[in-house]
Amino acid sequence: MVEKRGWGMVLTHLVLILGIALVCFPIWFAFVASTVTQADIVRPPMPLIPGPHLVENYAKAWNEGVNAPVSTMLFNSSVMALGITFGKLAISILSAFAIVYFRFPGRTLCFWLIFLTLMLPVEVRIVPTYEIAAKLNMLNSYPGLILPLIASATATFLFRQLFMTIPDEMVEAARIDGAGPMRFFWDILLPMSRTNIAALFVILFIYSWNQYLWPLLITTEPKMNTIVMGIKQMFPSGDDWADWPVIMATAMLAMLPPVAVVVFMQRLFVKGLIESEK
Amino acid sequence: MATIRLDAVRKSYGKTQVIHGVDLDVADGELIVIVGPSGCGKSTLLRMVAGLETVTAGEISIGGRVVNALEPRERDIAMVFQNYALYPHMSVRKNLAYGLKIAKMPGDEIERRVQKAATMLQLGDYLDRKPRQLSGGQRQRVAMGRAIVREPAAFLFDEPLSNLDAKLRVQMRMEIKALQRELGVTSLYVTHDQVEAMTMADRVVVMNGGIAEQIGPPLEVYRNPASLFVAGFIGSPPMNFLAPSLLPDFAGAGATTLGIRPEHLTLVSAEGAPLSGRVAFCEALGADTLVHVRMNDDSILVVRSEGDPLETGAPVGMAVEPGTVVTFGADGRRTMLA
Amino acid sequence: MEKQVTFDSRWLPYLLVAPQLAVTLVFFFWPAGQAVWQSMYLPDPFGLSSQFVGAENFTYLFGDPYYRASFVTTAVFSTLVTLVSMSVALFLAVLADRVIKGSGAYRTLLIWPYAVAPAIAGVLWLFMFNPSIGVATYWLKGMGYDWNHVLNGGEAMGLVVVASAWKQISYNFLFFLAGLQAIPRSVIEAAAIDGATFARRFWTIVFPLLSPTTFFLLVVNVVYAFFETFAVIHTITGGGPQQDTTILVYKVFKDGFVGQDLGSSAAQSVILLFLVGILTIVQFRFIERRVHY
Repeated sequence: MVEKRGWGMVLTHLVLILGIALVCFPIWFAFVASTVTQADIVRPPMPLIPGPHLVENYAKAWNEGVNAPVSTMLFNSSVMALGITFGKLAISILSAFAIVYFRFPGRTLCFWLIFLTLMLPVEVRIVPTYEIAAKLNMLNSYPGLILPLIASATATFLFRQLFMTIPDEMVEAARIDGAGPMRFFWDILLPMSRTNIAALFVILFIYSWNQYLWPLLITTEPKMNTIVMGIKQMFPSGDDWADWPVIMATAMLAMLPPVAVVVFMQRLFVKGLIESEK
Repeated sequence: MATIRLDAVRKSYGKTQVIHGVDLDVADGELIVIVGPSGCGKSTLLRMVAGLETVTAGEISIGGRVVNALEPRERDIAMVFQNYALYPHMSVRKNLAYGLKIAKMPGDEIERRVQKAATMLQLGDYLDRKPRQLSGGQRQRVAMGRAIVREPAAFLFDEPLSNLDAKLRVQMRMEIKALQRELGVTSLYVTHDQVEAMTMADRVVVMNGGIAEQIGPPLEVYRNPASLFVAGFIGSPPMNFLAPSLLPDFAGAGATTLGIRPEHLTLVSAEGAPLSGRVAFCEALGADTLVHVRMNDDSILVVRSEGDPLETGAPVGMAVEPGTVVTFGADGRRTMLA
Repeated sequence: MEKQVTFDSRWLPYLLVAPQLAVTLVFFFWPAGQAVWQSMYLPDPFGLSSQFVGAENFTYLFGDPYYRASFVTTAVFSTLVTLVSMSVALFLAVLADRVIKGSGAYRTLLIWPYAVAPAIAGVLWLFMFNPSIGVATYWLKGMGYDWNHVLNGGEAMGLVVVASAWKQISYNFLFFLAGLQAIPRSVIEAAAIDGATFARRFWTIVFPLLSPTTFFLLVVNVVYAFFETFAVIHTITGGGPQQDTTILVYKVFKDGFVGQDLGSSAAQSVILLFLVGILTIVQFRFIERRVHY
């Protein structure tokens, strides 16, 4: 902005702060709700400042939840999210390595097969994927939560793009030094890709943690619920009698890891977002 | 066409003052070059005249109007940026016409002005191209064309030639000078290149650390520098500075440094010469040679000689052309010749 | 774009791509193939056998008023979500860009909603607008408006649109801000000197230069609205009242899992597949031709 005189600046800041408040207030309400009693909520209006029952509600959520304790659900979510994230990173980087650094028959075919998966988000293949998972005995299991979500074309493309920018001289130097392909991969390629891997880790972690539809389908036992999908299960059919403080406490806990990751690793997160959409 | 006047202009960013009071009176039609090293404040000064920076103290007037409180678009100025700042998504024609359309000028008047500028700057063939299809020199011309069509009271140039290669720079500075002469528009031109300052300016403003150390015609600034900084900044190869002990005849009361330009020294035999030393090394430029001589206090003097390079280590003497030695006091300011 | 220097190995590359190919084949292409296969069959009421019906499932769908309604609902929903989240994000990004020193802080404060799962966003907004105990419902009642999205289709749509857009604002904000900051300041200053006011500068210079970002976000937002919003709909309205918020992807779920109509659900999946395909092609085509200034 060029104009530096007058009310422009003050107004700008004001509106921005208003925008932030607007964006944040749903969270604020949820937080307040997680610190008061059920009675306070069921008789509106709910107070706008936090109440004294924080520890009590969170402890109840953690230990009992509604149909599964939050501690269990957090554990499941963590296993799932980390499993998917590491899984995606591992297989994508290996495929990208193969596609970029080797010439082999069927290479183009592999490339296109992987590319096509971009057109198949899980929502488009839910019923048959479920049937296959059932056939493979994967219902209500960690592999069932993890494996169908693990192939990622975007990560593969990203790594491919990254590897393309690494100078050829690196490979030549490695070969002269007597390093084979896997050595090159471990000692040279991986370290050079560190920031990109970290950035992608952030994005993938958030994506995996927030998965809803697939965990919903593949888990029927409450003890396998992940926290994001488990929240919906906490609503009975007539929601006036939902245990709101516990549900809100669960929601807060469900949001915590991804938000913490975004806030503390902001630079990597932004880098990851922007790179992965190129 | 208008005068520009800077009256005790100061600029501070928070607590840091970067411009410490500059006074300048620019006559109508004059081309003023503000020259100085990086960080001396010359661009800041220009941007204050443009209205892109606020003025902390003092007054800036354009055409007799005090413009401190006016936005850039209200000041009737045009600016040529270092990186041209052309509108990338518009053709050359649209780039030139943009300001005129905003001023709600009638279409045929816009067309007339665009054509005139295009002819003047040889842009006729490129009017329908986009900036990314042009070379650096062509973009520079479009940037100038954009300024010309507005027929403003003053032109402001912010290091316009820095991004061009050396040969193009030489050619463009002559063109800019000729253009400015022809149009007669008051211009402020900022650069760090003292050659541009010397060849283009009607008057030069030498800036250092937020202060205008000297204002005057180029040759005047060259021959009679007001301070150590100006003496060392203007002129290439730079002026020699030596301790008064080497030339006791010239040391007046209070002189802590003497200055002699390389072209005012002549090589003579070492015996009986006012200055003597040994050749450190020579730079053969073709037309002349720069002989670097090490004095016995270990300082180096550069002599411009028309002869061939001399052998390293050879003893050599130097004579001084009368009336060319300048003396400086402890504060860096010029003291009167004894 | 080919690497000139490669390694030689007969078997290693195959080993390296094997994991990804395996997962891709088992969990992508096999189900996709199944979906196409099943879409051409009509299962009997007991699920014991199916009858080949060719394209009948498809023709039935295109004639089904519920399915057509779902198409319209999806179109309306995506348009609204995209419009709302992009305009709010652009507005905030323009403001944040004006603030030279604070933009980093504002960015931190505005991007974290991206980390919130759509499902949680759904729960949060549901909580605020719960017809009996919601805080927002209470305020609206105070202003004389009776909010009940369980009964009112328009309100239900409004609520899911807001809950979905709320989350996307961060993402769009980030990209818009980056796009704005990529415009050289000197071009803006030149426009200011040429006489343009802020508004004029925005529409004639900034917005055109932002168009690659805008187009890109448009595609991403539409894809988001089509698919990732399932969680929002499932948590807030369950597709209701009646079918008012049943978007295409939700219908696939409802018909397939709840209704057990496998043939129809599979056919719907196939149709969705085509739609994604087109969107993906558009996205990649456009990225190829991204304009560089």
